[in-house]
Amino acid sequence: MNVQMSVQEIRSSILEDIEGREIFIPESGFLAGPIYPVRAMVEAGIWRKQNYGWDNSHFPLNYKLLMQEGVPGIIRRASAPRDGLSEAQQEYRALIADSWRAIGEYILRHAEKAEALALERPEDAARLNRIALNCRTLASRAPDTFEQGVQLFWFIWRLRSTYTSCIGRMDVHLRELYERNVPARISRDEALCILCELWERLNETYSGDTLMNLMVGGVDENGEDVSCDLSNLIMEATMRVAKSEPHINVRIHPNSKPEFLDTAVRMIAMGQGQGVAYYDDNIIPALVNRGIPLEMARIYANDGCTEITFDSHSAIWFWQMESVKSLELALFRGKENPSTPFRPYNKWANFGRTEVYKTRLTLGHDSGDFAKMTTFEQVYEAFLDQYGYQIDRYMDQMAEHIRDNEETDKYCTSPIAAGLNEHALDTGSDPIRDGWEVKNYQMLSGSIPTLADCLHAIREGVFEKKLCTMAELIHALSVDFEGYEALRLELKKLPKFGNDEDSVDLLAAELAEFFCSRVEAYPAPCGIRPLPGIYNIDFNMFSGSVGATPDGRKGGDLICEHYSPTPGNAKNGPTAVIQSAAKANLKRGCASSPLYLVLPRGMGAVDVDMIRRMVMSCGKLGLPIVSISIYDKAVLEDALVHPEKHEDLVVRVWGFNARFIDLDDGLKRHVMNRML
Amino acid sequence: MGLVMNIQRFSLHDGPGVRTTAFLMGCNLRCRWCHNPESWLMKRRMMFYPNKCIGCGRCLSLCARGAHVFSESGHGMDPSRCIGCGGLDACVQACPAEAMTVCGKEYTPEELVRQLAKDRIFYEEDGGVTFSGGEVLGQDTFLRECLRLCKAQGLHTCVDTAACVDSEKLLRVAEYTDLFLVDLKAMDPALHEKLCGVENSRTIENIRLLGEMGKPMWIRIPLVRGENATESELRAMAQFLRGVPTVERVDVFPVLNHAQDKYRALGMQGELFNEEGDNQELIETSIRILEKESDGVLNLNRLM
Ligand code: SF4
Ligand code: SF4
Repeated sequence: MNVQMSVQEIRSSILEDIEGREIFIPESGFLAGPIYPVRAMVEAGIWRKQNYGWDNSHFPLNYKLLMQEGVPGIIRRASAPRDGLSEAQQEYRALIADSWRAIGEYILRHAEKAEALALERPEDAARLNRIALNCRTLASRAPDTFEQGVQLFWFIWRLRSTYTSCIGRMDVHLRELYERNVPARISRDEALCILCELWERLNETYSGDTLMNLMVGGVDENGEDVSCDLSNLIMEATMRVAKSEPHINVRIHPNSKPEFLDTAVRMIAMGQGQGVAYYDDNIIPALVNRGIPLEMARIYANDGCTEITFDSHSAIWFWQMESVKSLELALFRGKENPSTPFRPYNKWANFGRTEVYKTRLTLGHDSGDFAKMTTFEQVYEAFLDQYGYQIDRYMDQMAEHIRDNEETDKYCTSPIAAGLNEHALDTGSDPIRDGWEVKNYQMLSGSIPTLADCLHAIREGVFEKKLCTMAELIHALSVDFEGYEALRLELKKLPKFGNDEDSVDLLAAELAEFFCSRVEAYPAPCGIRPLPGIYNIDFNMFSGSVGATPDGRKGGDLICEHYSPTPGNAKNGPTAVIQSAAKANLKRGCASSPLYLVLPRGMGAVDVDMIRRMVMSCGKLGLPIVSISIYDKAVLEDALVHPEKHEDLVVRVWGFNARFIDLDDGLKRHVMNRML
Repeated sequence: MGLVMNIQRFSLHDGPGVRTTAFLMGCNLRCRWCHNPESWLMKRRMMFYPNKCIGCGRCLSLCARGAHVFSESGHGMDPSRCIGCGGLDACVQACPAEAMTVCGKEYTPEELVRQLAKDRIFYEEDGGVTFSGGEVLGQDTFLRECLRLCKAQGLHTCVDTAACVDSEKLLRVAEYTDLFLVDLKAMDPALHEKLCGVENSRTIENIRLLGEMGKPMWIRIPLVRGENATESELRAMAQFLRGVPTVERVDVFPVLNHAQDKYRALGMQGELFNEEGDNQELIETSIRILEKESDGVLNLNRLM
């Protein structure tokens, strides 16, 4: 939630809100605490009010600290006497302490209710008393057991946001409790059941673009492998529950344990897009290159989508540039293509609000009369002028926000998030300004492969094959190729990114490089160096508001996501796509530069060993992030006609998995067309 | 120079592991279910897909041979009139809709192997390259050179053949071939001739020969209900194969009718097989017979 509130406003709002919250003891299982399903709110368009101050829910909180301190420990730490604090700092610490006190009381009320129910229902008393004991313990000290740890996570995770939020490195956060308990106090199977119950609860909360991203594996700040039995168990729970939530991401490095890799590959081979692979060797050095301290780079996790955060040590702010639209504005001299369809979209789901996306690029910048240009070099240079201009304007917006964050107290962080930030706990400084060790601002531009397809079509189609003049091309675009079908098909026939063809792949690589260097060259606002990334989550929105393009695409048709081929353009199979992507220095886009691969079921690709090879080879080729999903096209087609028969069909969308039948129509088309 | 029909990357059914397969033109068999009829002749072939045509008329005005005909029923093409002008490229290049394609591209061994090695990072120890067809051994000199170059680069090599050729051809390439994939379509020579246009004595002889040479083989049996998927045929196959020591595995799969579009694009009429009945059951019944008759010696594998 991005609300601007003062400490006093937050205080009255949060204390009242937590006090008024429903006490919920489940009819079965052990996880106390209400769910607040999000979908019902989205469908009704009515948000449950939860004004706790700023927290965009996209970054993991320090749940490890939570497990170590427990709620009482957080309160103690926020109230321990400290000299030399300003009045504002004292006030903020008091807000944190009081908010967490309210949380402690809220948890205690669950214990009381469970105890009362146990008296009423002796036949269920054992289970209810177990819930009561867990909650009483959590109200009075740090968790003793794995189950209590999971219960505490659920309480705080659900309190954090009306919506849902990022989870982070759960195997790191809960490892100590797990190893203390399993197998000494509970069996591995019992621990698996506990996780499965949490997974079910997360799925009941929401499904789809939920930010519920969880990362396993990788290294610690010293570079030692952190994967453990809990990492494997998290993946096993995901395979057992087989629903969209949570979204599992897997860090891979040369010392990843064989059983960890085996489990990860089995989970990826399920095909639902679970197990997005992050390659430490291709990510950590790139982050260090961009100025992130090595210890911080090593503990990265992904955020609520696919972007990099620094687990427990950063928040995240990101902006998404529209690269294909930049070409449109260049060709039309600072204006939009007059035949742009402005197809209404829903961000991802087929329920909730539909809107028409309006570009956030700056109109009016004229980078030359393309109709009169006589060489590709002129076109390319003029395009880069427009693209660079647009990147800079986006950077201006980011810089302004950074200054707001750094130099004003416009935003006050939610005391729930601040309560899990050690610096804020001890000093009462708002973590936005002074608590998260990494100031994590990111400028992202995906869809560069579609942009490269377009520019290559101009190079080969207009200047080499002379299919038309620049003036004719621009006219054809302005009328959405009406009366120009032959030209459109000729343009479509030209080489496209994703087929291991150097002509267009190298152009895409150059454009990616241009974007990253432009971001890096922007004067660091308040000394903060934003991270560039070749990524966009809003490709569905963007594509509906981009008119016809020189690659033969009609206005409103699909553009690509991240650094993946335009859906339908990759004709030579997944290895060619990977080779195309590997020609770019995607590491430089260290905020997040993923490649998405969708394999059809039935080509043998479900073979776990094939997936293992593909996953490992992508890392060796230098790709930073790769998502592999496997679907049966016939099943997806049937789901379009008979959604009721495919309630459990889960697909990967961008930084999340969702039920196919819930997706916006544009995204359904996108998912089906990107199959290789 | 060799004439290559197609290169398929990430090929998972043409030998072990991840492979790249080169399909070579030319075939001495005419299997009635053939999935690659465009590979039969040792020459480039024009394929025409009328449903893609947008009627721009470019091909009509270009073709001096009158191969393209426009009538009320739409755009038709008479491949027999086509003389392949401009290397078959004139109208194909001009067509915006990709309604025509030319099948067959010339490669030097070096260039072909360079293409095949592109995905070597995915091959690991067991994956590699496969040469298939058509009948690859129709271009045995070219094939041998390609295989030699592959082995020089340390690539694992497979040759996919019906082996219905003189043994010398097989022997010429065996030296550089790690694994043979051999199609066995029928044991009865008359049935083989009925299904594939030629009798099978050389196939049988060559499988035996490869066995004696110690060359590993995977045998592939395409099942056609009522033709070769009979008890007597399958029993004869099992009896034969169990006596060949280097048969590592036997793949069994039903013939499907996936190539009808291609037949039409070549101006031909494809036959339909296995239309009636359950193909899964066809596989299972066939496997049972092969298993029983070979006393479980054969490593049987379903491909579906
Ligand atoms: S290749 Fe030449 S002869 Fe053949 S159809 Fe085309 S234009 Fe006519
Ligand atoms: S050139 Fe292609 S699209 Fe045009 S009439 Fe001929 S086949 Fe049809």
